[in-house]
Amino acid sequence: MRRATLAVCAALALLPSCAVHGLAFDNDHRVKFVSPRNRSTVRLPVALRWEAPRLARTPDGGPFFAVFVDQSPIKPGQTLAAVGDENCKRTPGCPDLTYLQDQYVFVTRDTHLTLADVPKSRGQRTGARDAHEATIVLVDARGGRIGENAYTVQFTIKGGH
Amino acid sequence: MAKTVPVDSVEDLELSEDRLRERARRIIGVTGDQEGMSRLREGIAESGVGWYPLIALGALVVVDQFQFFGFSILGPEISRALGISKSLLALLVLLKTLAVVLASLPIAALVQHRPRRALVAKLTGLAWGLATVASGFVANAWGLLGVLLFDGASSGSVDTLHGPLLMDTYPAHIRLRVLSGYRAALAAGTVAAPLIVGLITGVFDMSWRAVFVITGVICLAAVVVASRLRDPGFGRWDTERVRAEVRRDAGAEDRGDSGEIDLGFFEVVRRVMLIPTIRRLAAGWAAIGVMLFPFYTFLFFFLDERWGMGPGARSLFFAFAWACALPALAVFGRRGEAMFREDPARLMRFVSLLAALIVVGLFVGVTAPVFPLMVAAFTLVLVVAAILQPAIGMVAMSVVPPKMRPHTSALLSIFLAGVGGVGGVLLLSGIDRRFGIGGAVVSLCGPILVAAWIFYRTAPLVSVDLDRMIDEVVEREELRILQTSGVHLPMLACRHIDFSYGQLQVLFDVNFTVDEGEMVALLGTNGAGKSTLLRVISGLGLPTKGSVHFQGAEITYLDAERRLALGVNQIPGGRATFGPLSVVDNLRVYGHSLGRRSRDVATGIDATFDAFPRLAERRNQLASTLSGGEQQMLALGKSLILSPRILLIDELSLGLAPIIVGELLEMVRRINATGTAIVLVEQSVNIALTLVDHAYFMEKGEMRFDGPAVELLERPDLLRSVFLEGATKGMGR
Repeated sequence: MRRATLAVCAALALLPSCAVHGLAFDNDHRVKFVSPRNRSTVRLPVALRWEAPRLARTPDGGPFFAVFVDQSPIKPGQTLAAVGDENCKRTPGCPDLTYLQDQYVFVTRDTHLTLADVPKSRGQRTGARDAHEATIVLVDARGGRIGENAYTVQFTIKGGH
Repeated sequence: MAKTVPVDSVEDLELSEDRLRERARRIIGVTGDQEGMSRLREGIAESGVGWYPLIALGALVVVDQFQFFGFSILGPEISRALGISKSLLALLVLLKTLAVVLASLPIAALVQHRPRRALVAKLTGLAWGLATVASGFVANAWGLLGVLLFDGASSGSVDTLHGPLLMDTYPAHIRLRVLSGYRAALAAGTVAAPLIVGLITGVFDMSWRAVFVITGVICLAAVVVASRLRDPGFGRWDTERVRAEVRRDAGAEDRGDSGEIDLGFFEVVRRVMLIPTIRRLAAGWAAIGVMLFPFYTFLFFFLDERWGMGPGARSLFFAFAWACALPALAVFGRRGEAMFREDPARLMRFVSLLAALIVVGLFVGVTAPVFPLMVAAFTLVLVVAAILQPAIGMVAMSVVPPKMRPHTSALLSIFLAGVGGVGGVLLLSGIDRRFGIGGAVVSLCGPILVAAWIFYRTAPLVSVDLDRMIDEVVEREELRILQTSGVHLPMLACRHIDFSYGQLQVLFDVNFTVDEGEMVALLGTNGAGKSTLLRVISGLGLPTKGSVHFQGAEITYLDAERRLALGVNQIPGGRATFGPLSVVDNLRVYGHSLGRRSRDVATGIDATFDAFPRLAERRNQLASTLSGGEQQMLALGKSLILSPRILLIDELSLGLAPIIVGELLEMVRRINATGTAIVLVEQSVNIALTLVDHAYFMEKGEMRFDGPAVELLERPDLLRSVFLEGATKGMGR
């Protein structure tokens, strides 16, 4: 009886961690990378291009594209403020676009972006590829992530950086 | 009136055991030749349950792969959708693996007393099916942690229960083929899972959430398929048949309840790990785990970096390799069965050869200049790894009693994934950075060579442990027949006891019996093994071979406290008291050890003080401040409180004045007069023989004399050593 109660309590505790609304069960193709080709080898600077013809624009010009390089994007519903560290969170106006760029997070309304540099790979194996990844999520005007869809391209930098 | 079995009847049991052992080996599938192997179809028909249990368990193990592959393949998508890092996701998946490992033994505990393995397998299947569906609805990392732990804990039943269920469902002569078929189902699941994931995401263009919901529903469908699965009971095709053979041989009938004392969970685990074959297999399996778990990771990177294979190509590679495992398992099932049938050691030697083949595969795979050779080499590695599982499982489960098979399977999976897997990840995690991914793969050859060597060394042990298991079953059944036919058995019977302290064996094939209310002396020189034999009887030490029966029930592997509750009580040699406690507290502790009511304990304490007035005078004095004689009196007080059925007294008179010894011996006589049997271990032959009619004499770990005390006095060849030792001591040498 105690075990059953414990199991029910554990299940109830986990309920808030599950959801039924706002979940994406279909793949979303509103944004599609044009270049570079997925898993292709490129040289720096890397020109990222994507298209989003079916993306419905909002009156404030959104949604915006937030490009995260070599890192996981913010959680759905979270704002870009989550990218900032403790110092940034205590500073008014932070994070701004410059701060975000320093963290390899780029926010743009355009469908292209040039990466002059990419984060240095840590713990690289001998002979391993210098692999990188750019992930786009949609954010609203206040920087909040819209939905859980994400669009990714992986590429390898040739000749190091 | 009950007949009393003379001590000679032990010999009678031995004769019938030798005769029955050969027949029992045939029953459990070891015939000594490769002739007359029946077809798998015939064996399946003989089982009376057809293919259904194999299909049902196969379906469960196939769907068990879905969640794992879902997270492996769709990890990046999950990470991006939920906004959690890949390292956090990897940690969550690792926690799931730990949950699988940690849940396996508790699941074994769930089924050890009652044969409800099928029920638990179905319920856990239902649990992981629901967990897989729930994975499609998680909204954050906590949700993921919950479903992964839930899934892991329920998946622990696969390794723990499926193998033992199949062992009890199908006849012994087709088991390895059945286990290989089951392993083939696992391989099929490994092929199917990525294909299903690819189908849902690629063809139907659905997200990772849909993958989990759909595969979860497939899991639940598999549970429905398995819903008619029933537990066949423990040992239906082996130990039960051996018991029936023993009864047939004795012309006895099955009288139902065996009156056996069931071992507790930890007692079973300890008992399983005492079996030399299991210990070796666990060590070898751990070495395989050291290789296997990093191997998959290294291979992914190697295929990516050396051969530029993307996720799709890598999935195809693994699907191809596991598909190749299907015919290989079919061939091995029959071939391995024949080897086991002829001699289990042969199968173990073949397993060690297979392990060595992995080394060849790894080396060729890394150095292969052409793609097909690389694919062939690594396919060989994966196929051999698949074959090892049923082979090791078959050997391990054959040398343990059926009730302990779930524990054995769980322990082996803990050694493979928990000890080996975690150890491998820790040991080899930095090696790829130093030597590159190719070097990392080659570095795996070390542990696999160790495993091959361990398996080779295990080969000679298998038959010995198989016979030991058979002997235990035969002996238990024969004793049961004697009991049920009204024959009175000795209250305590130790048979063929071997005992070792680590590598040092100190008891050799010792037989020892004590009858109800009897007082016997166990004599011998210093270091002869007398105290060790008492430890084996009281449960402070466990034998490596042989059995201890008390009042007809086997207690060989029972915990000391459970033996105490049965009435086996030992007063260890030296000062058997708690020095920092007062006299009265010592006596209370004895009572507390059995959870006796305070009134009974108080009565026992009063009885002790009546018997030893000197203790009453010192009731509040610390035990450490008592004289040697008083401490022995206090130790004897234990028996007055606990009223044991048998009291084992080790070196009662050592270093005490004759007048004190006289007092103590008088008390021993009085305890014996109440019906408590006494085993008196003494170096002083004179003291012992004034008390007892029956004596045993031990020398160098062997029982050299068993008979009337007066006859021992006529054996100067034995007693000389004791007297000489005493004389030497007296001369201060």
